[in-house]
Amino acid sequence: MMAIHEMKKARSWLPRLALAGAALFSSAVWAGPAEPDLAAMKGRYQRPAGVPFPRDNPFSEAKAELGHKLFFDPRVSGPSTMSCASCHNPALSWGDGLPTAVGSAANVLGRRSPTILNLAWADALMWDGRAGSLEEQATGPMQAPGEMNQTMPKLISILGGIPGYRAAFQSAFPGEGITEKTIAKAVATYERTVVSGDAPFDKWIKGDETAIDDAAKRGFVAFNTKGNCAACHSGWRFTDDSFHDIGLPDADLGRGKLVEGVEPLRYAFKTPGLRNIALRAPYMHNGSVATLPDVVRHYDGGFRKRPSLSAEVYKLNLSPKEVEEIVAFMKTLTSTDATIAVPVLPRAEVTQ
Amino acid sequence: MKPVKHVAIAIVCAAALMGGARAVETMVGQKGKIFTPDEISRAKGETLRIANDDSIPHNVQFVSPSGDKKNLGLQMPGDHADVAVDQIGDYQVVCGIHCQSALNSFQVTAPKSFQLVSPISFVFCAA
Repeated sequence: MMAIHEMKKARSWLPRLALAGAALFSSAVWAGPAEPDLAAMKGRYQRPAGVPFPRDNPFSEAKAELGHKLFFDPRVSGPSTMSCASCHNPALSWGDGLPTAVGSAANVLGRRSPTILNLAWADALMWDGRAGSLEEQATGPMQAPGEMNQTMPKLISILGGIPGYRAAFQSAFPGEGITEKTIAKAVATYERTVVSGDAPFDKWIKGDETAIDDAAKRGFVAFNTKGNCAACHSGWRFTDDSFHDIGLPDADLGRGKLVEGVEPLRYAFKTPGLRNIALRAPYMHNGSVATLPDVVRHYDGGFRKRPSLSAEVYKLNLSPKEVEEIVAFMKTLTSTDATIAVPVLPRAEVTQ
Repeated sequence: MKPVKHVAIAIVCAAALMGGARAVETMVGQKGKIFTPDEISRAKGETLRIANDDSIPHNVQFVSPSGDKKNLGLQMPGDHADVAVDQIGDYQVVCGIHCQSALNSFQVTAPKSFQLVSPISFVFCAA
């Protein structure tokens, strides 16, 4: 059996090879790799045609509309002070802009609020992957004492006392009533509609050579070769939905707390997608890295070496210009999305 | 004695080959974080061998048709994990590190004439 460090040593030719290749496109003018290679590289980032919905919770307008209301309703939290949108704020790229999340009692939590962009395609939810579906995830934070601190019986009672919600649930789930399951299905349906739009990068992928500049094009190639970023930030969402220890100096075991006895899962967290990433500083699961150049420099060699470190994280020897160009590329992933309307929420009847 | 020795060696080799053929009869690879093939159907009583032919570690986990979860630990490149299939129905097989790496369908059928028709597995990667 080959130890992880031995495997990394065996792979050490990779950056050197990539470095040699990088020399081909390091000039000021975009030359790029051979056309077939670049075409193949670009082909890995085609956007899907539609949004997937599970068989046991197919899309309906009524469900999405109800989920939209629930998502923005602070009454889903125990003290009625925070909604899902408090941590997943569309004005902040569906995050909260804070290093780590803050609970309903103004308590600072240990991990950063992840964006909910493009989760319709995600395989495992939460930083440690403990939820297998959006339906499973949706009501978890509502009931977590440190987060929204609500109880399900109380939430069902509150919603059941509001005629507008009773009607909305009846319309979305005829005959099923207001239950944890229907609440979760409605929120999950709404979340699946949160999809980042076309970015300049997508226009370039489709053939518009003027959509991004030459530095970003070189950054894209470095992202896929010498930078080895695409080993984990792969596909059109730029995530492999996998778990990696990226060598951050943090005592949080991440997925290692849930899955014991698997060394690479110690300190491992889910690879975040990079769509609209320039809008979501600070970075990493604990918000410990302030800027995108700092993120790239972390992967360049700023990581902590330990037995659990991902085999896909190794010293890159990037030049300052390459760091700059990878960042320039990541900035082309920002889309101009439609403004999200804050819904008018149904209220309980008030007797005079 | 020489011909007898050759025959003995041939018998030993044939037995080894036959034994080896049984051990790797059902093989799934993991190269590029993808189970290949990703749909498979085996008879009850067989063993599914999942080989890590990738360049990074993997962690095969599976859920049996009755819902029992089993974590087969870490498989370094070159290692393999064996899943003994002793229940009829759909097994869910996934890599605990790379959640996009999952068998879309792993169906276990009865060993003889009875064939169970099952839907494609729903695969998940929750811990």
